[in-house]
Formats: sequence, C-alpha cells, structure tokens
Amino acid sequence: MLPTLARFAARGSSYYENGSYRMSPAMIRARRPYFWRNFGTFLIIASVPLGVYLYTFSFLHTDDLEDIPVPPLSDEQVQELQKEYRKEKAEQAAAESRKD
Amino acid sequence: MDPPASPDQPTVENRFHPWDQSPSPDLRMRAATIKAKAKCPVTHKDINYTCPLSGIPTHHSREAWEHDEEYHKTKKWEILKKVNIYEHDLRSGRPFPEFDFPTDQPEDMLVNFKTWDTYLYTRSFYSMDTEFQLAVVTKMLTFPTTIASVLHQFSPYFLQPKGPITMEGLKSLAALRYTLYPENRASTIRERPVRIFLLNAKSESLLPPHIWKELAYLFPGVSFELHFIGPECYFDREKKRFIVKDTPIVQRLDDSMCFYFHTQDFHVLHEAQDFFPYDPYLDVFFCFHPRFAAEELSDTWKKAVPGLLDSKCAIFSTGYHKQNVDSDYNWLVENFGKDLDILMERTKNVFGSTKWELNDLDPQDVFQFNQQLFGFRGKRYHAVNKEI
Repeated sequence: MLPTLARFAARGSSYYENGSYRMSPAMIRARRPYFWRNFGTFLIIASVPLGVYLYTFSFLHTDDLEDIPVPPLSDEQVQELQKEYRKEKAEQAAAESRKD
Repeated sequence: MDPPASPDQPTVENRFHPWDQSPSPDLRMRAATIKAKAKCPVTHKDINYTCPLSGIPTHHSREAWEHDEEYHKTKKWEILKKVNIYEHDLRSGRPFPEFDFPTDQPEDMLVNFKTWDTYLYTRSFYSMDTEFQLAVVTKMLTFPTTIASVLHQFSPYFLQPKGPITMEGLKSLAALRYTLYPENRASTIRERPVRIFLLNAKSESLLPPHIWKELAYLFPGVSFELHFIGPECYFDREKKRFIVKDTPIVQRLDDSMCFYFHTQDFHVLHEAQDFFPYDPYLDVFFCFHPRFAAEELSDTWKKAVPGLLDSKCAIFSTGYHKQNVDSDYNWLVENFGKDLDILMERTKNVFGSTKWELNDLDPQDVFQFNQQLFGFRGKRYHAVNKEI
C-alpha cells in the first residue's frame, strides 16, 4: 500500500506550483464546480462558533457595571463604603476567633 | 515576479504557424494534400489560400475567403486554429511529463467522473494545466475512459429525465454493474472475465496496452478481455500493414487484462459462433466511430447488426460530431427500429477527446474523437401471462 501512496503523492505534488505552492490551473478547474457549494458549507459550519462568540459578547454587554463605585466619590458614599468595609473586617475577625 | 515562460511551455502564440510554412514536414505535407485534393466551399475550385486567422488552407482565393460569411459568422476559424496549434504542439519536441500515468487507485480515494478535470485530478494524473496537455492525453484516454464512464457506478449519465439513460438502459447497466462490483455481491463465484468487444476497431487497437490498463485500475478485482474486431485491428509494425488471419491473435498483459485481435468482420465470427454464449451480465459492445450510415460500410453493418441485436448485450456507439451520430442513429432506427431498444439517447460524451481534428479532404469538416455517444440493444421479450 505504501508504494502506491508514495507514487500518488509524488504526482500529486505537480498540482502545486514549485516554490510558491499556489494551486495549478488544472486543480482550480477541477475544484471549480464545487467551489460555491463548499463555500456555503463553510459558512454554515463557521456560523456555529461565530454565533456562540457573538451571543456571549452581546450577553456580557447587557451588564453596564453600575453597581461598582468608580471615583470620584462623594463623602457620603465614601463613609458608607468605609462602614461596609469595617463591618466585613469585624465579621472576618469574629469568624477566625471562633475557629481557634 | 514570475520567471519568464520557457519555450517548452505551449502557448497559442508560440504554437501558431501557417501549415504551408510549418517547421514540421508532416504538416507541410498535409497542407499540400489539402491543396491537391480538397475543394473550396465557395467557388468549388482548388484550394490556394491559407486563412490568416487559422493558418490552414481553406479557400480558393482571398476573395472567396472574404465572401464566406458562414465561415466568419460561426467562427469556424477558431476551431481550425485549435487543430493547427494542437498539431504543432505534438510535434514541438517539448517534454511530455503528462504521459507519466498513475497506476492503482488507493481504495479510499474515489474517482469523480463529472468532467475530464475532476477525473484527472481524482485519479492523480500529472497536472494538466493547459488545453495543449489535455488535448495530447485525452485523445488516448478517451477510449478506456468512455467505457468506464458508462459502466462505472459513479457514471455522469443519469436516468431520464435527469440524463440520457432510458429505463431499458438502466436494466442493462445494472446487470453489468452486478458483475463489475463483486464486493457488493452475495455470491463470490467468478465465472469468467468481462468481455468488451470493440467493433470495427481502428485507432483504438493501436493504443499502447497501459492505456487500456486504466480500466483495470478503475474496476479493481475484475478481469477483462478486450476483443478488437475488424479487418484493420492488427497493424504489424514490422511489415507496416494490417494483418488478416483466421485465428485471433492473443496478447496477455497480466492477470486482469488480455487482448484478442480478431481480424475478420463481426458477422463472420458471429456466424461461426466464436463468441457463444453471450451473457448480458458479462459482455458489452463498444463501437468507436462505427459510421453505420457510411456507404462503404453499410453492407458490413447490415450483416453485423442482426448478430449484435441477437446477443441482447448492451451496445454503445460514438460519433465524430453531431451529424455523424445523428445519421448513425437514424440509420439504425430506420433499418432495425423494430428489433432494438435505445439504452442511451444521443448525448455529448463527457469523456470525448478535447483535441480537434480536421478532414484533409474537406478542411472545414472538423471533428473530435468520441464526441457524441448513444447506446442500444436487441429487444428482450419477456414471458407474458395469458388468461385463457
């Protein structure tokens, strides 16, 4: 089997131009009747990952991140955040002391 | 960016020479034959004027050439120009790497019979980039490939109304495909080789054996016997003439292919029962350019066709051009219409030669080998239930 395949490959290489590896005119002619249908199949298959990507992209864009405070902040907001922070710290410390 | 074209690379420009000033003595000779024997289509006098567009002597004088409106309107000179450049390319002495033919087809690679291009590509022939390379190779390959394209399971000829095959044709082809694809069959009995009869064989019998071996590569596991029949089927290259013998000349190529040259007419062999029994599952007839309707041949064919129809095997026939195949078809239907079924309507052969040829006796009569194709068979009569 191997010699046949090797011979096949040797002659098959005449379908690519030396050096540039462009398809030869004979290969282009042989593939032409199938070009548009193959291209359609490519579009259908390519639409699956592309659709997944676009859906994820649009889904993530519905989140405008308004719940994250961005400076500059007013004094009231700073105080509220500091209060939240202290409360969190205190809870952490309580939890650690209970563990010991 | 591209390197300059080598003179070995055939182009329309570097292969164009007027035939009467051709660098090749053969073609100067043919130009002289045309001038000596052919008649001008306008003035019906001798031909003396070489058409500057095609480079082929076509008319009596420049005036006649100018007045031949049909010649210019139908662009006949474009085809004649192709005849000219293909003939010069054959004699140009360039290397012919395209004659490096492939051998076995790997089992997992299918052959595509849609066009010559897809066929040569899927069979992995050398890349035929220009019309010149196609012309050189298809003129030889047209004979085995025409046979294979009709019989193969991926044939480009479909059942009517999608294609030219009639219901009767499908019956005959199904029988032959049953034999040609032994791996799809329940029984593995191999009775005998498939016989392909080539009637009135001329140029096809001169083809080198490895061209016919193409059939064995396309139908692996099947053995073939090719029977060339006709007085011009065996050319002795030493004696330089056609040999006629009572016994067939047998040449065995290998296990899968054997050639028989029968140098008598078909009706003689048929009456001597040399080929009995015929089997529509195993035998098929191909007539390449039979010219049934030609006056000089119609007597032989009138004797041969009843035998062909008697065999009930499929018969496929090709023609040089539309008129040729129409006259053959009409001749058959007129003379034997009651006894035959058409298997395949007249259609353009997908695997005809792409090389244009011309008739030296009438340079405007241009043709291609195996350009048209049709099939017929003797009627088969089935048992009919009769209520009494």
